[in-house]
Amino acid sequence: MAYSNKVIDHYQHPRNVGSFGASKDVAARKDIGVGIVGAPECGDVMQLQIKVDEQGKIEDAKFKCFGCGSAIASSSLATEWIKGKTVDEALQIKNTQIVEELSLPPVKIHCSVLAEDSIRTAIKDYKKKNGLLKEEPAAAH
Amino acid sequence: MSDSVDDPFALLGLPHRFEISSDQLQVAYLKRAAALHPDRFPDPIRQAQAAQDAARLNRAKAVLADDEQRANALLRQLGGPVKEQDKSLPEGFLVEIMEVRQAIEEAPASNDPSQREHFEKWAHQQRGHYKSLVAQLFAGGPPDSQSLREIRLQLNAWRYIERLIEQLDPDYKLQL
Repeated sequence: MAYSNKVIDHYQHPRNVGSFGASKDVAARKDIGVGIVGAPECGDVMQLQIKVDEQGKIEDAKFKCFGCGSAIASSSLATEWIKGKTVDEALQIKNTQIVEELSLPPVKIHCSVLAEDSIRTAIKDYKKKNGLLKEEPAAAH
Repeated sequence: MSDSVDDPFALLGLPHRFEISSDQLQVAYLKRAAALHPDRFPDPIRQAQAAQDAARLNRAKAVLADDEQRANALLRQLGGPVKEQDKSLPEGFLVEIMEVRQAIEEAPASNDPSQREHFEKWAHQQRGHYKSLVAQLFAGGPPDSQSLREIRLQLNAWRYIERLIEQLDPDYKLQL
């Protein structure tokens, strides 16, 4: 199966790899949201950290992904897309857009889901820290 | 792809349970593999069918020979939730696995064999932990929906350990 050049490029040269500090150390920082997510299909894990400015705009994003090349490419692309967006704009990103952009084959769709999950989880963490989260039913999961 | 819904236990004539010894599996496999040997089928159409059945048998054997895959197959046969539906994990599990992953990445001289051994040992201990836990859960009589969900949760965690073990292998190559 042929993978697209975009996947190969992102996986060979992933953008925005790293973190703003260990999860424990950034836990108290209100300008940072952390999302740690996993794909039970394969056992890949990914951490996304977003740095949000006072206007609610994502000024920087860093990720670490321990998984396959498609998962790395999906999260790399996700960091590029969310930078410069407001948190609410970033929430509009759907995994299907990542699939389309990277031309991921059906067996790799869960990698794009992982990237979308990481955006949601990181933003949720940021909103929770800043008291911006609306009340949710307790049994959401 | 009807193969994915095959019951590997039924294909090998084995009972639906987690504890299956490798001897037991081997005996069951050889008996059925012999019956599908191409020499038994002079008719080319039936021979081709036998070859397909043999391939299914081989896949079923591979599933049952692997502890984690056997547990997943058994859970499916018992009507338990599949991982695509139920992604639940033990509390704090992902944070812990992420910390281990980062510690491995940041370990000084990560190609140092003693460092790798340390993490390999941890991962294999975890594998043993999940295997015995899952065996216990399956052994506790006919499972109700709550224990099926509990098995799903433990199996989800187990997957991350297997993935870690796979990637700790010095010959592991990153794949797209």
